[in-house]
Amino acid sequence: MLSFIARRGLGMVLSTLLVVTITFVFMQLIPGDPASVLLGPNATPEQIANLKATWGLDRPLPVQFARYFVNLFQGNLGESLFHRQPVLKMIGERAETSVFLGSMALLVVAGLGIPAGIIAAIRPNSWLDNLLLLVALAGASIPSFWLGLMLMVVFAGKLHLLPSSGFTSVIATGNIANLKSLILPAFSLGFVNAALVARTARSSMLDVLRADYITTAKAKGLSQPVVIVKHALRNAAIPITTVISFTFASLVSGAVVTENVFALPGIGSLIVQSVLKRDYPVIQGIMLVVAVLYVLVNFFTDLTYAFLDPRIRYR
Amino acid sequence: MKLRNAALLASLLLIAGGLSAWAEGPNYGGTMRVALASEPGTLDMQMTTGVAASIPARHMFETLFAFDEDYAPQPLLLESWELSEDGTLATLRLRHGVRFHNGKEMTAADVIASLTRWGNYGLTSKALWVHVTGIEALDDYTVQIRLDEPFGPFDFYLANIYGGAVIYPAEIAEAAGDQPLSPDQYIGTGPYKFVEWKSGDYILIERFADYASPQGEPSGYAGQRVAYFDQLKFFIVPEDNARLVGIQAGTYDYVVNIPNDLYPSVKDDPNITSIITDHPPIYPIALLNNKTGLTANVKIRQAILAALDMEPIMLAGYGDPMFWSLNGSYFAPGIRWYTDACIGAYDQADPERARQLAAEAGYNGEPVRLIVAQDMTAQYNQSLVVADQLRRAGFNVDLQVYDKATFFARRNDKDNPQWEMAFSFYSTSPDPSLVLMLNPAYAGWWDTPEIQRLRTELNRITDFDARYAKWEEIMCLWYEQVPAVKFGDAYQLHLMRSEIGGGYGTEHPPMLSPYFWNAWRK
Amino acid sequence: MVLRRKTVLFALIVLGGLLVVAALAPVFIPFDPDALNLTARLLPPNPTHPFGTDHFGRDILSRALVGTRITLLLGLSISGFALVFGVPIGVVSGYYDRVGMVVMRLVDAIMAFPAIILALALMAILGKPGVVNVIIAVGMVWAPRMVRVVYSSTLSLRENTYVEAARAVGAASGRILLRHITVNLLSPVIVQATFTFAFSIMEVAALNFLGVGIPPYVPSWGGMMNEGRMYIIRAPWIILFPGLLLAMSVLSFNLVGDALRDRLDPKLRNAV
Repeated sequence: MLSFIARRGLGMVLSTLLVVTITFVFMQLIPGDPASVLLGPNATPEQIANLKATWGLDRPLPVQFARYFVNLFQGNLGESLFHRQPVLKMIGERAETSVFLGSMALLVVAGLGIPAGIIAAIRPNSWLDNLLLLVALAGASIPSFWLGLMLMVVFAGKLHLLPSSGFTSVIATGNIANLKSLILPAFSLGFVNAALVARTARSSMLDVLRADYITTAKAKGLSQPVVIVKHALRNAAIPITTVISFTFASLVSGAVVTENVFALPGIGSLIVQSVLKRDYPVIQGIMLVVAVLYVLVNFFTDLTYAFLDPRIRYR
Repeated sequence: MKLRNAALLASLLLIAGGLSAWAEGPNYGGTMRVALASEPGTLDMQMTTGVAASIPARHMFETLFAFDEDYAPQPLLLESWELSEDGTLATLRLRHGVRFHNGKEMTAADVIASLTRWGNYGLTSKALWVHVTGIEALDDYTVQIRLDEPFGPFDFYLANIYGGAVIYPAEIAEAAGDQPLSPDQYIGTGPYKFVEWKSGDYILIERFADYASPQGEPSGYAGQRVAYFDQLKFFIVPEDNARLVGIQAGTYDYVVNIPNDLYPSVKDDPNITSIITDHPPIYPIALLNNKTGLTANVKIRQAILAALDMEPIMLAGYGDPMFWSLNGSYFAPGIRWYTDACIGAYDQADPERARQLAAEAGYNGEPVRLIVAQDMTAQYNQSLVVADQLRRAGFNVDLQVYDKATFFARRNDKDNPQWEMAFSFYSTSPDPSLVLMLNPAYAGWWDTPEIQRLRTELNRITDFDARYAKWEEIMCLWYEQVPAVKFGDAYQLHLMRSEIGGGYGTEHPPMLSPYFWNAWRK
Repeated sequence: MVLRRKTVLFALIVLGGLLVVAALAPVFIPFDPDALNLTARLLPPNPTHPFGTDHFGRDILSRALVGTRITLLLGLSISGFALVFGVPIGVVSGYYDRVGMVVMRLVDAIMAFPAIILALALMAILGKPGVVNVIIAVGMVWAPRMVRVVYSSTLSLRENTYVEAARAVGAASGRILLRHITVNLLSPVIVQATFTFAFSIMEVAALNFLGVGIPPYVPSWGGMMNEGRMYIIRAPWIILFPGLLLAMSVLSFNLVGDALRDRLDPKLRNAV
């Protein structure tokens, strides 16, 4: 167990360093530069060159890369070229929105997806199964920006039930009611993924329910709910966990669009803005944080596998 | 005209809405919530020409002069000023008792440091600054600027805020150098002071209690400024629909840049005042690559111009005709630089003539590369129609759509430009010498001997009539050499809640970017 | 069961119809899909334009029909890309620990990038926006996800009794991989592939939304929806019709994929 954790730990560090390196290489390959964006369309080439020199962007790439790594190991993620604020502080400010949005969306995903999948699997090919499948698939085929806009137009524009955009900190104001602003975004973000989870839950449950040991359990006279909860669900949990852990990445990705639609100050909108502005230190910083989170989620997913399926040994 | 109608309508509505609100008059307090369409890169106005940045920044930072509603410069931080007989010595007398947000009084030292930084690194300083031979303080409140030759638009340059000479405390101007200011350096003399900028969320500024306002009837950005609102909060809301729904629901008090096509959804809403920024309009323009490749040939440039039918182009870009008008002159009618000289070549819509000109130039199906940014929607829409019209005139069009950063990087690549035509839009320049296409270093690189001579002469003359005549010559040269194609004049749509008093956009004409001093909540 | 067969039949008809439309669209569309007519902007559905017109006065019906071609091409190519690269890499990584250790670190690193950001970066690097570049960029986003699905299923499969039995009787690794593991991978791979199809189309639209991707003037459903986004209040038909077509085809693709899975999975075949 310990050696498993140590080995995975080393792998995690490697993955993270890979991400940082890939990000750096990407930054260099993408055309466009922060100086011309900051100075605006009307700047002259000399002004752009001056500012690039001030930022050290005119130095050889290995020098820039080495400098970044040295700073990184000192815990310094650098400063936004545009906002002149430490990257870590900017990410910190944005984290609250993203964490709340992500958790609420995950609630939507799991809360809708897993029950729907199980219900569908209990009576395969029934009208209920087909209906759930249809709803799930329809959900998966609506782009989240479209769903988000429709929800915004109806619930904020017409009915005035929920706020249309923006989010005020819950922690800073202590006002939990601010979470209302996240209901529409969380739903539009979670719905697509709920479909994915529902499908996986259904097919895994079906596989398991048809397995020999379930037949045996049923033959022993165990009641349906007991069979489902005790035997089937546990065994179907692996693929479901995989999909939910995928959902994390897909939520981060989806948040990129959703946060832009609803003008939410989260990590997703920060990264889009930073990519479009070519604010290199911020992009690097966010990718680092996202990578660490992602790798951690994967690690815990693998741990869960091991817990759920003793046959998978710690390798 | 549109403006006056809007004003009339608004006053009628006001009367109809009951005189009580009118009688109450302005009152203090509250927060004005403004939704911006994009996040500024920086609020350091010396270092950006962005209109989005200027909206919050204008309330915090001030220039020596400010434009009134006719776009004539009036003293703002100045008490008075004068130019010597020969036009080479400007004496600027500062107002006494103007305080920075850090409590320090503004003196000549601050002005000199700020102007020096602007001269060295500011985005719109160059044409003026190359003529500055000396800047010195006669005393704490008097600054003298010496020029090597007369510079006609002197006060226009110092009134312009886009990449303009805003005044910072000396120590900040010196410390910043060519780097944009950091938020803790956002210290100005304006009626509002910086509180915080949560990136991607909002920019918050609050009333500056020790603000020293200029006197005089408010007109445009000039005249008295009263900060009625306690705070101004500028939200960053990129999604058009979110801004629209936001103002309909009362989440925001003012929203900028609503797509013109969405006007029908708000025009009958009694809670919303539509503000159409026709004062001045913006100018959608496609730059042509004068330097290399196909369009380096003037005949090809003339052929492109000949092929274009402007009405569908403007319709695609700006929607209902109430939001645009056809005008081939660089400046819009109503601006004193407007001229109808030589604009006959505008809007020819003559594909046959284009074909003929191209044939004369020896055109043989080489690709005409049109570059445009997809996130500049109106420009993208226009490029589609232009591509269509050029194809009809026999050109082999290659339309390339990029994101903004890539687009600008490609467009500004001076050494190896990979395009023939680049779509953009421009706000009115306060003075013809600030028209970017006249700058030989600017994308398009118009640098023929004729324009070299004319632009030097334009800057040297100080007399308005003589300069106007020069500008007419430049317009004529423009339609002869076709350095760029102007499509027309276009207006943007801003929306304001009707409970905001102060008459911005109604009694007072809307300016290029809005201001919220002298505004209050009814 | 009857209902099931009916829905599958329906899905097959829809997909067949889409293929026919994709092949023949240029022949029977009422208008040139790219023809601009600025005097007919934003017209609601009417007898001449059954799906209405967009902000350029282009006929939505014609664009949507022609868009079938590009949308199907994109979805299929991207899923194909993910399959071709994802399955072999995933199986080998799952079966051989050493390979898996290395490959999965790389996959983890790539998957740590939010899909849209990765695609955005790849598009920017590949240069000029175009269909082939989009297939490569989005394909590279989805291939590692396929690797991961295949990897974790292989991991689970190789512990199964029948694989252990095969090994015990001395079957060669290659044979085990092919005969026992790959065959049993079909169900998760098909599920993943159908979703790759669906998500990749959305992703292409999201790339348009960010200003890269296939040039927006090329009629694709995702691109049309994205262009119609601004008009969702004033002219909802612009976004509605391509959206419905997209939803319907994704739905059909999933239903058919599901049916395939039932036929191909040996365990389930016996059950049926």
